Parts: sequence; C-alpha cells; structure tokens
Amino acid sequence: MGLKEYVISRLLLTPAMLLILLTFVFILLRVLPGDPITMLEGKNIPEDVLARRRAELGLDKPIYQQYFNYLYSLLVKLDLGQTALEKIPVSYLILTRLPATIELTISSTIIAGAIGIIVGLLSARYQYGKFPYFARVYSSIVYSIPVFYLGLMLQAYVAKPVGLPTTGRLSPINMVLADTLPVRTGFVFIDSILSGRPDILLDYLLHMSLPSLTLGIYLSGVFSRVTYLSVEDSMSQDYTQAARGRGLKEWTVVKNYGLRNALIPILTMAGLQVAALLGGAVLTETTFNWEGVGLLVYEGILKRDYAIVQGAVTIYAVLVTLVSLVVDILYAYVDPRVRY
Amino acid sequence: MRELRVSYNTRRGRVEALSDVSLALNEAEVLGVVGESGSGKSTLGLAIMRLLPRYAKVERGEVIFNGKDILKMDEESLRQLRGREIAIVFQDPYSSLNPVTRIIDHFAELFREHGYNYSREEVLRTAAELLEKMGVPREKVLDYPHQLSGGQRQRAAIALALALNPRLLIADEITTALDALVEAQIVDLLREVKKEYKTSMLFITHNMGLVAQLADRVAVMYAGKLVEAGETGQVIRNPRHPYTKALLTAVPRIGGSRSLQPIPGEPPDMRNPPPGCRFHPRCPLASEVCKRETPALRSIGDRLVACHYA
Amino acid sequence: MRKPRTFGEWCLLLGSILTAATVLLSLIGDIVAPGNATSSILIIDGSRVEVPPLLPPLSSIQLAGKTYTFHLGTDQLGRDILSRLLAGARFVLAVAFLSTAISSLAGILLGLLSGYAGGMFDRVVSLVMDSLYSLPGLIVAIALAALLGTGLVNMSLAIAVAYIPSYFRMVRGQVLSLKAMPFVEAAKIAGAGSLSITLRQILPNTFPSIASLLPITFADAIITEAGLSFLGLGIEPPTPDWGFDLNKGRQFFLAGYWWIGVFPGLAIIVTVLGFLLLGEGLNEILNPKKWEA
Repeated sequence: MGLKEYVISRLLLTPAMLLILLTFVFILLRVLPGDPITMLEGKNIPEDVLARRRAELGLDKPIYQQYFNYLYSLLVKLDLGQTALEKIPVSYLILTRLPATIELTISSTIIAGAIGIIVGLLSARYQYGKFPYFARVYSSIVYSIPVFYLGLMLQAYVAKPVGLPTTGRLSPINMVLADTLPVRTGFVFIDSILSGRPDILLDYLLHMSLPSLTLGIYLSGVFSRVTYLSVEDSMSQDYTQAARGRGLKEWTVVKNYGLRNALIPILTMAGLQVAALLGGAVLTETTFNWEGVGLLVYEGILKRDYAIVQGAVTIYAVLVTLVSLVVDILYAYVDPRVRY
Repeated sequence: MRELRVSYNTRRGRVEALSDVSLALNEAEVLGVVGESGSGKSTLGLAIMRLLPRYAKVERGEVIFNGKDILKMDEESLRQLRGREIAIVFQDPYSSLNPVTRIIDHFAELFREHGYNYSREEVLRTAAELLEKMGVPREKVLDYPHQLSGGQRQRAAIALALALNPRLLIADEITTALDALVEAQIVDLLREVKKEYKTSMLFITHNMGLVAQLADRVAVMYAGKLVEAGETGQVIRNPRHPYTKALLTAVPRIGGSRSLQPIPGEPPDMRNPPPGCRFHPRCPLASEVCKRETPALRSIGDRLVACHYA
Repeated sequence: MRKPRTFGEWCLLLGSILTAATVLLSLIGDIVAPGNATSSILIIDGSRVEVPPLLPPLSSIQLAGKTYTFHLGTDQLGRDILSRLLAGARFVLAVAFLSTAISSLAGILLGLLSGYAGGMFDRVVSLVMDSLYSLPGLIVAIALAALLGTGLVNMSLAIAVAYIPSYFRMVRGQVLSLKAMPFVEAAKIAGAGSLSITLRQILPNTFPSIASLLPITFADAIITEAGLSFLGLGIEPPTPDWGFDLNKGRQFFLAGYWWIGVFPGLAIIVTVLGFLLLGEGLNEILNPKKWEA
C-alpha cells in the first residue's frame, strides 16, 4: 500500500471516529442519570432560575433534539454554549486557553520522552546488570506520586532556592506586553521568537520549566516502564541473537534491533499517554496557575459552571482524536507490516 | 572442538546439554550433525559462536578455529569473527531477519559494521546479485522480510550469512520449518555453495536423509554425547552404533519394503541422564556393562564409535 | 516462608506489607489516634475543648489539664492531622475498593458477553469501549463526578467508568483466543451450553491476568480519587480526604506550614506504591515470562 495511501485512508476515517467519540461524550454528559444543573449550581437556588438555566443549556428538550443540537452547534457553528455568569462563548474561552495547554503538553512530552528513551536504551545495553531494577523502581515510585504533590514539592524546594517563578505563564509585565506583540498566535513561544523579543522568551521558558518538569517527570514513570518492557521483549527475540551472530556491535544491536522494534508498542502507549497527559494537565495547570484549558476546567468547577466543563470535555475528545490520528500515521511509518 | 561441556541452568535444575564432545571439521568439508531433539546438536552450533543464552554455561572445553580458541577470545575479536569468518543461519526463517528493516539494509548494516565502506549502489548491486544466486528474485532486495515467502526468507538469510565469504557456515536445522520441496531446493543450493565457494559447513539436522545428500562426514549425537562419527557413505551403509542403526531404519524410504521401525522409549530427561551408556534404556544390545560404564569414543578404522559392542 | 529470590517476589512482599498496613491502620485508626479529625473541637472528659490551629508536628500542649501530643500537627482549622489521615484512609480505600469492584465486574461481564457473542453486539460495544479508553481517565471522572454529585458511591461510580475498558479488553481478548481452542470445541461437542462454556472453561483462564490488574486499578483509583478531591469534586467537607487536604495545604505551604499538605501527600504515595508493588509482584508470579529454554 505504501505510506501515502495509508495516510489518506486514515485521514478519511477520522471524521467517523470523531463522530463516534463526540456521541460518546454526549452520552457521558447528558444521558447518564443525574442533573448537572442542580449538582453544580447548588441545591438552594430557586426552581425558576434552575429552569431558566436548563433552557439555556438546552436540557429541557428531548434527547434526540439535544443530540442533534449538540452536534450541529459543535461541528457547524463551532459553538459550545456560553458561561453562566458572564455569557462569554465557551468556545472563545477555550480557544484562547488552548495554546497554553498545547505548549505544556508538547514540552512535557519531550521531557517524558527523553527520560523514557534514555531509560530504554540503558535497559537494553545493560539488560543483564543492575539497571533494569533501577528502572522498575523509578517508574513505580514516580507513578505513585500524585502530580499535584510533585508540583507542590518542586515549587517549594526547587523554585524557591533557584529563584524560578512558580505561577503563571509570564510575569505580569510581560503578560501585558505579550498582548501587544506584532505576532500573536497565542503561542508565546512562537510569538516571542517571531517578534524578536528574547527577553519575553526567556521569561516564558523560566515559567514553563517547572510545570513541564512536573508533568514530564510524572509521565516519565509510565513512559520508562513501557520502554524498558518493550525493549526487554525485543532484545530477547531471536533476531537480536541473529544480529549478534552477524558480528554487529552491541550498540548497533541495541539501536537497530532492540529499540527500533520496541518503538511499535511504545508508540501505541505514547498515544494513550498523551491522552492521559491531558488529564494530568488539569491538575498541573491548577497547581501552577498555568492559564490553559485545564485551569479553565478547575475554574469552571469552582464557579459551578457546567457549560465550561462540558465544553472542555468535548475539546479533549477532539484533541484525543487528532492525537490518535498522528499516532496511527507514525505507527505506519515505524511498522512496515501495517502498510504493505 | 575438544571436550566441550555445556550446561543450562533452568528453573528445574541443571541440564547438561553437551557432555565432553570432541569434533573436527576440515576446510571445504561439510559435517552433518544428526540427532533427536534434546541431543544437544543445536547447542553445539550456538556454543561455537558463543551465542548461548544467558542461563547457559560452558563448563569446560575448547573450540579452536584457525589456531585460536574461540571460547577464550576477547569481545572485539569475537565480534569480528562472527559474520565474517563464521556465520550461522537459524531454523526459523523469520528469526534471522529484522522485521522492520529492508533486506538491502541488512546487507548494508553487515558491510558497515565489518568495516567495508560501500556506496549505496554497490550495496544494492552486491545484495541483489547474492539474492539471485540464492534463487530469490532480485526485486525482493528492497522488500521487507514479511513480504517474502518462508523459503525466500531462508535463502535471504543464507545469502546474508555468505555475504562476507565466511570460512565456516553453521546451518542449524535450517530446513526443518520448510516443506519438502523447498527443503530439497535449499539442500541443492548448499551443494552449489560448497562447490563454488569451498565453504566448510556444519549442517545440523534431525533428518538423516538430508545428511546423505549433502555431508562429507556425519556425526551422530545422542543425549549430549557424540556416539558415532565418520564418512557419510560408510556410516549410512554400515552403521556401527545401535542408535545410528535405529535412526537409519526409522527413515522412511519411498518404495522401500521395510516397515517403519520407531525407536522404542523416549529421549532421556537431561537433568538426570541414565548412568553408563545413555542409550542403554532403549538399546536392543544393552547389558549390565552398558548400565555401569560409559563407553568411551574409540576409533575403529576411520570411524569413531562410543559403544561397548561396536 | 523463604527469602524472596526475584525482583517480582520482593515487590510482592513489600507490596503486601504496605497494603496490609494501610488497610489495618484505616480500620483501627479510631483506636490509635482518637483525635479530632473532622472538627476543631475535642471532647475531653465531657467538656468541649477548642484545639489551636496550625500546630507543628510533635507539639504537645495542655488541654483541660491533660497533655496532648499532636504527632503530625494540626491543620488550619485545628483538626488533628494524624487522625484525619487515618480517617481519610478509610474513605479513600472505600472509594478505591468500590470503583475497582464496579469496573472489574462490569468490564469482565461485558468482555465475556461481547467476546463470546460476537457479531454486531461485539462491534458496537468494542467501539464504545475504545472511545472510552481513549479519553483521559481523569477527564471522564471529572465529567461524571460533575454530573453525579458528591458522596462515596457517586465518586466511586465516576471513577469506575474510566477503568471498565481495561478489563473489557483483557477479558474479551482472552475469550477470543480461547474460543478457537480445541478444549472449547470439545466442550461444545459434549453438549455444554454457551453459558456453561463461558463460565467454566473460559473464565477461569482469565483469572491470572485479572488478578494482576486488580491491584493496579486499585492504585489508579486512589490517584484519580485524589485528583478529583483536589479539584473539589465528589466530596463533602468536612469528610477527611487526602487529595482535598493537599489542596488546602497548598495555600499554607508557602507560608511555612508544610505539614498540612506534606503528610496527606506522603500517605497517598505510600498507599499507591503498596498496591502498585503488589500488582507488579502478582504479575510476575502469575504471568511468568520465558527465561528458560
């Protein structure tokens, strides 16, 4: 089939997958027992206010109509409703916050990936020594630490002594400045570089270091575990011994046979982990006051605004679909058996 | 190979796979190594290349190749030896090749790691030629292993093994997983290789028939011990060890009048091999001395036999 | 009992000790530290005494004539942290237990049904499960918790849904591969009904994998519960809960009152680690990898 054909066929499949996932989210949000309005908006609010709110969210209509409205407003009008108090379109709110979350996600993935690959490489090279034990212990401990606890510890014991900022994306001055830059994509990283403001970039990187370190370390637990397990498996396969039998250097064997073949299961896991990362982002953003979608969810919970929570979950579903698309394509690139 | 003793340390105890085995192989000679499963024949091939698994131990012995003891070599000399002077092909056609690498890249990797700096075109040409010589269509050189048939994969593996013109090729049950037709083709192929390249071969198999077609000399193994060795034609016409005799009667012949005579009993549990001669529980000639004393390998003429009654 | 030989056996030993200790402490917590977990008032000899807030660990103070030691200090409302931790353990473990039970039972049941029935039913259910599996667990839990509300049962339900797909996939996969095996064919020929085959032939074969997944789900549930309560979903104050306390402790941490947040965090770590190690150890014992010829 070839890579190109696979990509095209996979792309065509995406809308169907998105539809399925959105339907699922809809079921999650509306069909299950429970009344979101009373739950979030409080039990002591008079009935007519509740009724008005329900009507606003469209919860008083029959399910089929709700479903249709949900899909229509989401996919055609790109509308996710409005916040309870200020009546700001939720989609606007999420869109302004999304770049921050994406930046955090990417940087954390890089950190987690780097740690995971190093652990995998070392586990393969020294597979009969002590290293695998260390790797397993490391991943178990890291997995057990709640991400917000890790964030807290880093804030207290690393940020203070070293002098790193602990909240927000930028210091207050730069926050204002960022809005006046000539290039404004919402991604501070891109904006500061393209606008020629290295000082803002530096400030931004300093602010980003701890949150991405937190989320990255948190994820590296699972990453390194999957890596060393997959590498352990591929290194025990016959083709590895055959490679040694051909007189290949040990590092070549590790790289081309151990790691390369392990990439397949690792990639599968990586896709799932990025999804998990989005969940962890909620907690990390809350801990560090990082103005992303995750923090928005927290604010929505605090304010008892269900429209925000609902909108965020929907967006997460879309992001997950996109990520799985990317992963599938990478997968086809890495495993030739899929496309031929 | 002199007095080689290899044991495996398994969960259920120590298993002695090779017990003080001594063999000699000359230049441009094909030695067939025959035996049942568990006879230790595969361990032999792996031990020579020092490719034994982690839980295996070479307890004593030497493997002298071109004057040097392989077992005592340092890592780098061993690495250079493998693939260049001695090459091995395994039973499972899939397991010699990297599933995510194209055939040509296997060759490129091999050349590079042994210090040959060929250009991409040179590698392509060489690899395609080798494949063709082995009976695989040239175009396959750009394919991935899963796109080749089992027989083609095995041939490609052989091509890879012969690429650097090694002095010794170890073929570990390379046709066992293939059907009879392909098997015959591979044997023909090896005969051609032997004629053209003068490569010595260690042909490990459980099939006496293949040995008859290909090997100059044959070594028969049972339960980790060498029981008979000699020139192929002579051993087959005139087997001296009861086990060899039994093996030959057990081989089905097309048009043959004799009925199949399976060897009674089963191969021994190698954690606790029978005392004395290890074949005695299944041997028609077994007597008291066989149970007590392990027969030594004696030479009778040009034949080596380990039996009290040979 | 012999000394552990492999890494897996060490994990099993350590994990068992930790989990047993945690469960034990949560059960006998009231006896060990009968302090004021949910309010700042301590009843001493019938009279209500107000406990001072923000006491550091190991501080001993005089209350109503007697000396009381608050080993882990008190929080911002004067509640004894040690007692709160132990009471919180009860809540957290209960939620985790309930979620694990619900998700495993639902997942196993659906997996058995779907795998054995096949056809359209299987495809639809698998699709649903795949969708659920691809969403982040915490997000699913947040969506559900926001919907269902507070309380132990609601929280457990919200968390359980996220883990159903794991059991579903595992059991369904096993059913599919076992369905084709000869011994199932043999049972069919012998006249056994579908239900009987499923229950008696296939289900027992899935036990080893399920058994090693259970402690891990338990550990995951604890983490998710902590995450939910950190965000303020699912629990009603003044119910003691580690995640919730951690959030409250955050604010006081930087002011120097570290003990309010640190101890709940440590409690989470130790408990989760215990179950994780238990799962790892069980996995190695029940699903041995090939390490011999």
